[in-house]
Amino acid sequence: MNGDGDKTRFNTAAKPNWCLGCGNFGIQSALKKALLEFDFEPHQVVMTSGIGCSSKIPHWINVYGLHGLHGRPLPIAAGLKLGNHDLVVIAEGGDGDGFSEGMNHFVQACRRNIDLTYIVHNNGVFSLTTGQTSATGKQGFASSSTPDGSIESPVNPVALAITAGASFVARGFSGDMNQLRDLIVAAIKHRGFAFIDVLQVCVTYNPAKSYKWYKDRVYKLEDENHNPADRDKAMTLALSFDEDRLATGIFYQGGQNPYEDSLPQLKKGPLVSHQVDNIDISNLMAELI
Amino acid sequence: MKTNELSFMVGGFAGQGVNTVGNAFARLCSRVGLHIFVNLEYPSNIKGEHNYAQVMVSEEPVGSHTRLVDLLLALDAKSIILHKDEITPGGALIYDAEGLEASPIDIGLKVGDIGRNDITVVDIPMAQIAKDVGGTQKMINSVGLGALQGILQFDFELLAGMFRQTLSKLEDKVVEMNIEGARRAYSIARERFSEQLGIILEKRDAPDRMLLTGNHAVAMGALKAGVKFYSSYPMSPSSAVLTHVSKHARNYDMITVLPEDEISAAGMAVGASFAGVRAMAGTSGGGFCLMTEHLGLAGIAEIPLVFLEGQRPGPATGLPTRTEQGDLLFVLYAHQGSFPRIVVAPGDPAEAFYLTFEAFNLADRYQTPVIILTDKHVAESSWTCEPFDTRGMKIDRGDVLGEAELSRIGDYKRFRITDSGISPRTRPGIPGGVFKATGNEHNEFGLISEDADNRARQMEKRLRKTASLDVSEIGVKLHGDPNADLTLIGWGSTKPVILDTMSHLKKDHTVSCNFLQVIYMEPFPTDRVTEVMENAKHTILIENNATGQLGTLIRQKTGLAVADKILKYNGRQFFRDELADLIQQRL
Repeated sequence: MNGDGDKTRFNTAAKPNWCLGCGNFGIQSALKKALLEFDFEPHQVVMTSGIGCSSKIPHWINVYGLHGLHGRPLPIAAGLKLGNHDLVVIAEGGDGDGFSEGMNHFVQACRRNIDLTYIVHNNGVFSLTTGQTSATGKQGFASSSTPDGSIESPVNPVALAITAGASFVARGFSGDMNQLRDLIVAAIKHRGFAFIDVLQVCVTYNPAKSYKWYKDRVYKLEDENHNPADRDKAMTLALSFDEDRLATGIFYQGGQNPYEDSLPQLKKGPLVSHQVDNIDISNLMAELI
Repeated sequence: MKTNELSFMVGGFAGQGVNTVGNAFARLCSRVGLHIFVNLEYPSNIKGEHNYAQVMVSEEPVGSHTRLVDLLLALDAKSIILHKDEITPGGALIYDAEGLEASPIDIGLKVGDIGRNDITVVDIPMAQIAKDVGGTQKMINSVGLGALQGILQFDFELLAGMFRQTLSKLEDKVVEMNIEGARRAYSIARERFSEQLGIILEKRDAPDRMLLTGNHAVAMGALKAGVKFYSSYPMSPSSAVLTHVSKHARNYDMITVLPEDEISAAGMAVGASFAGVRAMAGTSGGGFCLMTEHLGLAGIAEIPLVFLEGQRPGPATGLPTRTEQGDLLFVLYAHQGSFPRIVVAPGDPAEAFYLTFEAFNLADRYQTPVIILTDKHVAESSWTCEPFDTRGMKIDRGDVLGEAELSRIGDYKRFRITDSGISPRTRPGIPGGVFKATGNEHNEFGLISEDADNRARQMEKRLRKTASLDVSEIGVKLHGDPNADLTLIGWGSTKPVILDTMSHLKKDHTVSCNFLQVIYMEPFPTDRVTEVMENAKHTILIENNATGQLGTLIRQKTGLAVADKILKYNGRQFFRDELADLIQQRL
């Protein structure tokens, strides 16, 4: 069955209910195109997501999916991967999901380095709750929750991920599907925690940052000969974030061993394949006599 | 002269090895065929505060402790000040008048006049002995054990044998030093004081018994059930389950994770279970507050999941290392909305073992969360117990579809409406089974649906699932004479003390009691509880909480009120004689 060339195998009958022009469409297409770059069949892939417009994405990609709780796609993805490490596990969510509610899980997932791909649809607003400012919302950004402009300084997801120890850190743009496809392919191939911060257009609640606005500002790191193995340079680039010039591409990729490599329990195959009948606990009882 | 009947207490400050002495003595007595119960009382502190352990020894099964002790081994001055009046007349105090070590927070504390002419005061120069044989202050534990064995005229070679076994990782000369220190204290205690105390311990021929806590039993039940994933953020009184399971994780091909918080612990367990392995998340009430989000997700997304909730007194941090049964109503109603859940409450290690094993079968069969509700008393106290009979323990993963069945079905509906409410499940990785699960209301395929009729049908389907779980036999147990004059009603960790109190009252011919123990809190054994309540001549609710939560539940489920109640909520378990007195006051 593998690689039978059916280019529609990740399509679903159900259609997304995002706003016309939403950046999520670009991310969804890029993800499907990325999956088609591999031999994967739909049953070999599982997506987890949080809550928000973007987190509905598993419903519209033909793979196993668990659309769970706001801020929690990463813990669920971690448990899934450890339960069956043969699966390709992709976690998705928005910036509110990942950097407001789910920030702790994000930081910990970076340092834990389980082999997951985490794609954040980052548009600076809570869209499904009608446009409040999120943790990546720019200082001064006016919204229904910050009518006088946001007071807080925003999270810098790329710099944060590098600091927290992520072994793969990239930034994409929902309006550049080919680049994003390639980033997702690289993230899935990467052994360890791979994070992609995707600059996503929200046409309804953050219309000032339109496709044109982004296109005028994004550039590709590879065009400037950035070496992703150079962590210090990656950090400098991440910290020099300013809205006049937005770097995209792979900031950092390291060779840290994934978490799973340190678990001899997994050498006999995925935990889910282990037999559980008639487990002998007589040695445990003998210890207590 | 009494033989093999003893209430012993060892007191000291945290870090001094009080539990080591208590447990070593208990283990030794257990190995010579005696029954044991150990209650630990300690504060949330690592060094300095007062700790004590009480060890009950008997030739008959014993499950509870008494207010008074026959023998107090005081390792510091505070233990004497706090506990001297708890020594039974004719009992004994063992201490070291010259060498009592002061706790870092009680420096300068003086014993003063003990003021007890009715007990034997056994002054053994434990610190000096430790020094004489070349040891340090830390060796006082071993010397104290020697003194204890001496006054009880116990065979010294049994103690020496235990030292050789349990200290086998130490250098031989250190082991022999401990033995020599113990021997010197043993000789003084035996020669000078044992006749006055008049309690002796003797070996009895008995089958091998385990000495274990509820936490050991939960860990073993989970490993026996094939748990592959255990996630837990440390919190008393459940932390030791993580320790026990982690110790054996590699041998049992499973993984333990200590994640960033209890939200993640529960979320990881959801993910592992969704992947198809048996998973459990463990915590106490405070951590369960954080886990409730995923509890409900598992409910609506129909993901089998086992939770361990070891209660301690709340709210908030409460009394972190003490005991209470205060979370019953919380776990029954935690999370918004309605979904089926199963809640079991073991009352001793054996029940903890069998119910934990069963919890995994129930979770898989009904595809819903199962909560094992223990508390500090059952989790951390130790009891002697026959090795578990594991014959006939069968794994039931419920209705699971593989590739062949899925290909026959074709258009697989993960949340198909069925008569039983149970929809056959599959797992990621299986061809032909691709589906979505979601915390949103969903249709039979698992896709989000806000259709009104669908909502009602899916809700009814989920709530139907546990209707087929008949708990009338397994969910409740009536201990004792069904026609007794008095029916005591309780659950969980009060089981051993209620049973002991019953036999105590029976021996005294005071009153004939039986004990209605509720084991399944949800689904609730309503019919059986109603039947027993209606036939009872008089009922008393006994709970370790301030509001009588089981009483509330019984009233809710049966419409019947328990006539009287005895509640204790100071963070400590009932003493056997205290409970007997409280019952008699109400007759």
